[in-house]
Amino acid sequence: MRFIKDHPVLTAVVVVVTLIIILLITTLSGGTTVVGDAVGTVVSPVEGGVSTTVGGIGDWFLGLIGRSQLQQENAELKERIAQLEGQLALNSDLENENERLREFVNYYGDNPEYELLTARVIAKSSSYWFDTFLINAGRSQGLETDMVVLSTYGLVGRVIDVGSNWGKVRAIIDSNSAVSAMIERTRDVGVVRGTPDVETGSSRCGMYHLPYDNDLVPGDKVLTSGLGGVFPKGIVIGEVVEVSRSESGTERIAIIQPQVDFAQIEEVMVLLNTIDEVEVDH
Amino acid sequence: MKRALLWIALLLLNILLETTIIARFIPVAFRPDTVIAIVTVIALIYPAPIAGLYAAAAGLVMDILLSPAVGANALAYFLTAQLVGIFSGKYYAKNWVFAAAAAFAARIAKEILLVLIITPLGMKPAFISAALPMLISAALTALICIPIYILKRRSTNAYMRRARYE
Repeated sequence: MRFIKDHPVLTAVVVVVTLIIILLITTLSGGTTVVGDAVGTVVSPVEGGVSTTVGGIGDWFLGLIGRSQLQQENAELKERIAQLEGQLALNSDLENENERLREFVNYYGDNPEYELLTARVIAKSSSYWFDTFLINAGRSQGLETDMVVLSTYGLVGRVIDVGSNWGKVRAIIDSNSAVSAMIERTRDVGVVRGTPDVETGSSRCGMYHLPYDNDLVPGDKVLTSGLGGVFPKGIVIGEVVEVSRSESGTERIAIIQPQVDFAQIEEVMVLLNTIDEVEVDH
Repeated sequence: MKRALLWIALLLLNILLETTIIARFIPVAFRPDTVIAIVTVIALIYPAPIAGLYAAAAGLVMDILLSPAVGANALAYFLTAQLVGIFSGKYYAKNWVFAAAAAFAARIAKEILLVLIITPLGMKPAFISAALPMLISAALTALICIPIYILKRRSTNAYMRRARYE
């Protein structure tokens, strides 16, 4: 400590240079370091525990605060579950979790070609610039970088970093995410990028590089195109809510509302097979 | 040593708070940066390099857990602590109003630094749309900083009195 106090400039230079080297290494190699893996391995179970406890307590408080709104949402969810499974909706947290897991099981049934791993979201980024989250599955569960992450509603994102028992996922609403997509009705192909609006808190995406003469209309469904080699074809991304022109006026941009509610996401599924395996099975 | 462990524990606790409670229940526009609140207090009390090390360590943990650019938050937190540390030990800085103002400025400075760090890496932060939420967040961060600073100053004063008596 005395050395640090006596040599403030040298300390600052050493720290800055070290951090820049770490930044460059991890950004260029795209992987985590041994130290990073160790930190994640120690911290992620704690995050998981806190997340579960806090989730229960928070839900209880939210239930007290916004009872009427939650009751309305609950009724809608009950209706949806009833339509999907013909079962009555249940009230407690545990039973709700069972319901969500049951949807996952149904998803497995509907997509036998997918080898899926269920994981829980244990931490989320609170940054303005990144939409990333941590899941409680890692290398020991077969997770690898670039694996596709889904929910029962649609595409969530892809794994960008993996530790022994944790995985870092970049959501499709992250401004640095890019997904090759197509409009289901017109088959027009473009690239979906996250366009988060921090001011309104909305999590939307923009679909770029669309043909200029397209006839998109709000409500059109957007799916993954299968191009690009990461995301298999046909996964639901969301639907078009607005069509506009780019600033230069030469390109049309579709604003997309993702099917997944990223603010409320609690469980996800990781697609363990590669895109080639999925395509072959199709 | 005990004090160092206390600050580390407090920073880790706040990282947990930010990534579990705040990120889940508070809308992005109203999220305070509790880590910056603590870093500001450390930087106003201790020499800037020491505060910088605490800040960099906290940033690195956040980076490892959630950032796609590991080291970016750490660098931004470190440089912010250095900036706040300019006022460390100054007579006018021994006031909670100044601490709150420093936390407000530090919150904005950290985001500007982060944008400057990640932009050359090919990332595209939408800075303009985040300007208003950033001001709200900075105000909340300043509010959180006030009790931490007052508590810290009280405990430091009590420690100094005890040391003088002994």
